[in-house]
Amino acid sequence: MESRNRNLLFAGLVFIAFVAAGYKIFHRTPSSSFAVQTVKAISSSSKPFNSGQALRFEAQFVSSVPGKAVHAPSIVELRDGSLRAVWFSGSREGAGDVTIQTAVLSKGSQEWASESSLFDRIQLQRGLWRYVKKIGNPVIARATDGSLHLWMVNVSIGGWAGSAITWSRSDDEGATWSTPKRLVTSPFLNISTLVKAAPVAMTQGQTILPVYHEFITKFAEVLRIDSSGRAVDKVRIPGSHTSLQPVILASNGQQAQAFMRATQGGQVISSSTEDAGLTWAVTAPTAAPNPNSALAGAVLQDGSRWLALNPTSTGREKLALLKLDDPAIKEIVVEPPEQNKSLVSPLNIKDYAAVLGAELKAKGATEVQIQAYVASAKRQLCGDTQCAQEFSYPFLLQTRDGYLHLVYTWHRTRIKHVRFDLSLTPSNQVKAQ
Amino acid sequence: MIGLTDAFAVCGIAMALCAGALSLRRFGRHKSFVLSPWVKGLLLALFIALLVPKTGASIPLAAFFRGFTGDLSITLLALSFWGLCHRLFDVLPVSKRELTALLGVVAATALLLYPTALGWGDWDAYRLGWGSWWFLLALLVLCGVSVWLGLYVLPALVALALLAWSFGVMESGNLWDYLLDPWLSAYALVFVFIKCLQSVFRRFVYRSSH
Repeated sequence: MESRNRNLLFAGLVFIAFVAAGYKIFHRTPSSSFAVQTVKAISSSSKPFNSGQALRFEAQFVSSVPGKAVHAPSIVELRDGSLRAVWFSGSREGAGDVTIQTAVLSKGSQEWASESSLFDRIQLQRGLWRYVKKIGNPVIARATDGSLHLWMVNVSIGGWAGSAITWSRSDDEGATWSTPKRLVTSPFLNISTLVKAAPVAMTQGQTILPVYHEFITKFAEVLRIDSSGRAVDKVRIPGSHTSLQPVILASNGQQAQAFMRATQGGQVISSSTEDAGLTWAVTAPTAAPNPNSALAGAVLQDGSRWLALNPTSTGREKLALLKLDDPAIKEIVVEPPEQNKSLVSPLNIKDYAAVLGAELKAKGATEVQIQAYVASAKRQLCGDTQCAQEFSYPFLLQTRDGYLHLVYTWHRTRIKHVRFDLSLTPSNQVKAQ
Repeated sequence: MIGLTDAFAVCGIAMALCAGALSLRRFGRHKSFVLSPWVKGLLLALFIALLVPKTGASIPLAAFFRGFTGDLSITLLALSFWGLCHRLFDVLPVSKRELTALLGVVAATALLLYPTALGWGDWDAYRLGWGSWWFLLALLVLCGVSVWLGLYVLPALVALALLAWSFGVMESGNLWDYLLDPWLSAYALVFVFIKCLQSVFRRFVYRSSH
């Protein structure tokens, strides 16, 4: 009798478990389409652009604390038309004191306010209920429900290859943030999923987050996140075993192209999807060069597709915009500035300090601040005698007023923001500054 | 305020660590020693110590370990709990036949899951865990075959994992994370490797003596 009851209990448990699991699979969030941009233009800024050039632009620094190692900025447009930027900052990349910083660009004055801290390691540790060793790349974006989402890389074991992604949500335009939560994306201790590029909004409140893997081997993946922020699917981009940091540019509800940083081969790697990211074509190299550095992309309101990248096969000393599908425009050089074009790289330490100092001074930095900024850059980018300039980790965003915004790491010591007016179509090789 | 999934994971790690401490060889060999009240008291003290928030970091020691161990699977937690009950309350242990079959399946599954998830080829077995009818069917067949062979622990553990996944008890939304984890997989692989070596050794000795 006892044995019969036990058997019945066993059979009941197994039956209920399979029925419950079947119910969950049946009600699984179905895949949706890429959300097509429907934003309307709003009134433009009152502050005039630099004039007299084919491409109108203005550039300014975002970060405001001297002497820090800063990297990996991203931006989002707020409801009032201002911008919020996030990046990581600390004594050095990977240090325990690295924090996620933020600053807001006022819509009216078009000036960046002082930066403040959003998350540090201990805050993440308390929110996630686990040890956190270091923090890295933050990516900020607006979800289709209007809230802001912030994804950030953080590590408990080892180097960046041991990263996982943590996310938080804000319903008040970034003033306050929810308790951070972990995205579980890998069966092996949930390590080695990193984020760098902007997400793509989907219909039904879903988000496609381009991510990448670095442990043992490298590959690019696409993570599908439901409206509650949980990971519900992950698709590997086939043939991406030397690729990182995918950038997804959606053309319509079903079609998109992914562009990836190449760790080998020196050319931007590409793949495409015809079914809203459920399957991807095998990767292939493009004509655009890539020195194993991150790139950024954006699809503008007119449907044109732009990339921001280091358009060389080695080094990160040149940063440019590239308009895809338009052979008339080869590249729009953003960095280095026109006056520094003739400088032969790598620079000796004295010249490097002079170049940085001149630009910082022109942007209003004091002598003390300049010394701290230059010291930080030298610490990270200089050897015993020479320094390599670095303009890296771009992030692109078009705001509702039609302007294209680019933020990037400037010599690892400041975050820089450039605003472009694309109403004047530039011809070949137009210089931005 | 700690959430349900975090509380479950942190308590699970504390419990598994206690089970691990009890299964140390010295305790295992002397059953009467294990059952003594002071060992039980020591174990309770260890469990509490693992769950008391650490000064400074404001997270318990078990949560600190969670950064390194990740969340433990339902299978490993259930086996740890069973082990604890066996040593503390003299509950019957999992039979050798059941354990061998279970660890054999875990080892074989780990050999499929981890290499593909970590980039061996373009196909990723982990993707099945987000909710696949084929995966559920495979588990149903596995359970059916196990019962047919007179094995009940494996289907019971699969059922527990499925229930936990259905109700979202863990942080992960992927069924694989409920079924197995790297620690259980490593144990299973070592167990199977040793069993294979023993089998080869026995055959060698048998042939030599005949």
